[in-house]
Amino acid sequence: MAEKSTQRYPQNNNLNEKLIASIDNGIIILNDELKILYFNKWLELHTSIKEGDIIGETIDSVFTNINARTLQRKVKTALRMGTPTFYTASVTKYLIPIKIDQINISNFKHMRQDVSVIPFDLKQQYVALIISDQTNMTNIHNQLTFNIKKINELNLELLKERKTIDQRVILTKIDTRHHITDISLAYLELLDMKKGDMLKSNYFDTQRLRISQELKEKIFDYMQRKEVLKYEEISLSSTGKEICLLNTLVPEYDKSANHIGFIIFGENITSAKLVQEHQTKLLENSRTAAMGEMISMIAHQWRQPLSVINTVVATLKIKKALNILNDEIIDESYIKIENTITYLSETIDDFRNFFKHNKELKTFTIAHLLQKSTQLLKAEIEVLNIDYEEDIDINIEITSYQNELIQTIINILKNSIDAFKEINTENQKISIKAYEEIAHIIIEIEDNAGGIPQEILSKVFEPYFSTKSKNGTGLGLYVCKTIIQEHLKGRITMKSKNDHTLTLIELPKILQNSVAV
Amino acid sequence: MIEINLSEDEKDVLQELMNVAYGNATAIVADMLDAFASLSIPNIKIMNIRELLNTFHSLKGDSYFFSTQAFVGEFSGECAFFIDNESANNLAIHLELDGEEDLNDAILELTNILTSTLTTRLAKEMNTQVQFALPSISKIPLNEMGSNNAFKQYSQVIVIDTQLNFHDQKINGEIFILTKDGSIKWLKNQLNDILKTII
Amino acid sequence: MKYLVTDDSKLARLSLIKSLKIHVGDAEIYQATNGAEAVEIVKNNKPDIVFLDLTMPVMDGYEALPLMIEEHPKIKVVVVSADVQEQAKTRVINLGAQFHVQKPINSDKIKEILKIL
Ligand SMILES: Nc1ncnc2c1ncn2[C@@H]1O[C@H](COP(=O)(O)OP(=O)(O)OP(=O)(O)O)[C@@H](O)[C@H]1O
Ligand SMILES: [Mg+2]
Ligand SMILES: [Mg+2]
Repeated sequence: MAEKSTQRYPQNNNLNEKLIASIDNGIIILNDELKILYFNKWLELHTSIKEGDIIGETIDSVFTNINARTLQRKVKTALRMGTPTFYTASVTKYLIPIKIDQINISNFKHMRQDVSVIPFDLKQQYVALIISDQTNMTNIHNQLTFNIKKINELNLELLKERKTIDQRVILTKIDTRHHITDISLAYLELLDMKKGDMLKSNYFDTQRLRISQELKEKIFDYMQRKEVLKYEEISLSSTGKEICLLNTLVPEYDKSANHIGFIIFGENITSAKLVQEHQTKLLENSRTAAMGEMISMIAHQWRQPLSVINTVVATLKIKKALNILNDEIIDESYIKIENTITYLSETIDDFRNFFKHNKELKTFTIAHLLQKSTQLLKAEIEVLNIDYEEDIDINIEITSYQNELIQTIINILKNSIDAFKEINTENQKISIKAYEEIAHIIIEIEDNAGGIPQEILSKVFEPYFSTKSKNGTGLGLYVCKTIIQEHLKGRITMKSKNDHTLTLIELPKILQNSVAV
Repeated sequence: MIEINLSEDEKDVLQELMNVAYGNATAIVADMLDAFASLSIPNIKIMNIRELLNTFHSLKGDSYFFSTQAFVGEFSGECAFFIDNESANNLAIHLELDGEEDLNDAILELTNILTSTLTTRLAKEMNTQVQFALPSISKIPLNEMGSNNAFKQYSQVIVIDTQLNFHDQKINGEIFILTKDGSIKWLKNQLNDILKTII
Repeated sequence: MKYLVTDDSKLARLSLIKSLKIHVGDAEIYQATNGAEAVEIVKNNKPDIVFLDLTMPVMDGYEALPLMIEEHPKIKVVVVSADVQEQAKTRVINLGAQFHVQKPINSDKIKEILKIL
């Protein structure tokens, strides 16, 4: 094998020339007065300036953007030190203006450059400027800087969001042993407690949490199965305030899908609970009011039978005085009185039944329902000479809360009767229709007592809305709506046209068991 | 990792070498600025990164220009130069610079001069050569320095800390030469060679 | 002839003394590690030639120089310093130094200095 030369190439100007020409950098040689002594091919190509045209010129006269003072300083310093000085793309952008023509994703008009000012010949005081293209690097650097800024912004936003979540969302985290591992600021505020006091304590701590044993067992059950559960809890704040939460229990897993505990999201329903309580009170009030009304109805009802008894007794007295009282008459009278008294006591039973507050679901016919509802009103209806008409299939049955439904119908009929009292019309009429519709029963109650003006119609279901100056509480229809919608899971609407008022009640044929108030 | 320590003699030699190198550097900067600097005794310490960052932190003032320049060779590492806002402004006034770009450029130049002269001279005294990378500048609030990855590559550093003081112009700076683990060993050898020649 | 070498750096002192001995043989050479020590030695031992560093702790060369001349007006002071700024040179010459020599010093330089002195 022929021995290869490992000697350095001898100093060869041609070779240097060739190498420098093909190098992918700009090279300029300057003397200490900044006069151009050399301008390589790369620069000729990029600037479209021929070396021959600028040799001997000062560089700042060829490229007027160059600050001669700064360059002079760098040249002098490089020569003085014997080591290079620099321009950096990050600070100075560029020294030689070279337009970027390539269609690439560049944000710059001019090539970004790093420039090294190299002491090239200390004797002659020459420097070489080596110019390297840093456009891509600068681009990447800028993009990076931009992205880092963006990431920082996003991070900040996330942090803020986390903070708002902490401040807004009621949240408790517990481990598998039910110890609280985290609790949000929002919940702590409600409880008026400190995080430190809550952490590591048992979630089911009876000092704070008021839930029934039954519910507790249900929660345990769902926890065991790692299933989502919605439930209501009542917590006591440090000041003894009751806080009602509608909670959602969700199992929590770590990154490797290991079950680590549960997250409990809460919705504060304390105020909703208050509304509900308020509603219950209202209903109670309305019942008291209704009781008053019933007593007056009973009085109505009893006037006639009492007068029957009166008449019978009076007749007996007269007949005794006339001495024409015989056993037959006595027996007859006795039966009459007995019947009437039975009727009276029945009315009382009905009355009592009504207020017994029967909470049991019952199946009954609509006919029976109407009969019970109108029983107490009959006397007044008759006195006022109102034509009462029923158009129902006597076989229609419904499963619902009877007493509540009776109260509703009485309220509606009472309103009709009240309306008739206000006006004078011939052919006063109340008609009730009832029919089935797949899973529903519809009851229509209509009167011709003058109707309700449209502007009032939208308000009749509001509590305390009444046009009856003294006697009206304005709770009648509000209670009806509450009962129908909340307890009987139906709908109630009112329409009015000409002098007619039509009340529509739609009820599920079979009401599923739910808790009535 | 083996903890490296410098003996008193080694420290003395390094300090003297630095003194000479620094004298050179200052003379050039003084030329550039056409001003006179007072020289101070360089402070030499081996510390770990935490101590280094603490040292940076202890530099007063909250807004500093911070520039660095790496050097490679048998002796390799990084020079860091701190100059506070006020000094930077005074430098701008003194050099009649206008604009931030010029100021940044001047600070980089200052860094480059200090670094190049210091390290070249130091290298020469220890019979070796170094090459320089482009200096880079950043204006970092000092409290973010800890998260700056730039220094993470060092486990132990020799810190040569010198002050640049141009009293009349009110320009003060602080220079740190940081060398990596490998270079510390090399440096120790060189220092001992020098010690042998005189004793 | 008596000499005094003043430098805080042991290396600087030893290398200077080594070079000095080549030319002066077994002459008496005192050492000081700072300006204050140097002034004390000048006062007590009246050396003829002092090599003086500038940057030193306790008392630097600039401060020590006039004090030495005051103690011993015939003394010849050679400042040996890394500070090569023109201003530093003129300053020490104005303060009464004979020479300002750039660090590091070697035996050739010493030879030349001794010749002139
Ligand atoms: N059938 C009807 N015809 C005309 N107006 C009616 C009829 N039903 C209800 N209204 C109007 O709706 C209002 C609200 O009725 P609601 O039953 O809620 O209260 P009220 O009857 O005024 O008071 P209360 O029921 O306590 O006696 C009535 O005041 C009345 O103006
Ligand atoms: Mg009413
Ligand atoms: Mg000294």
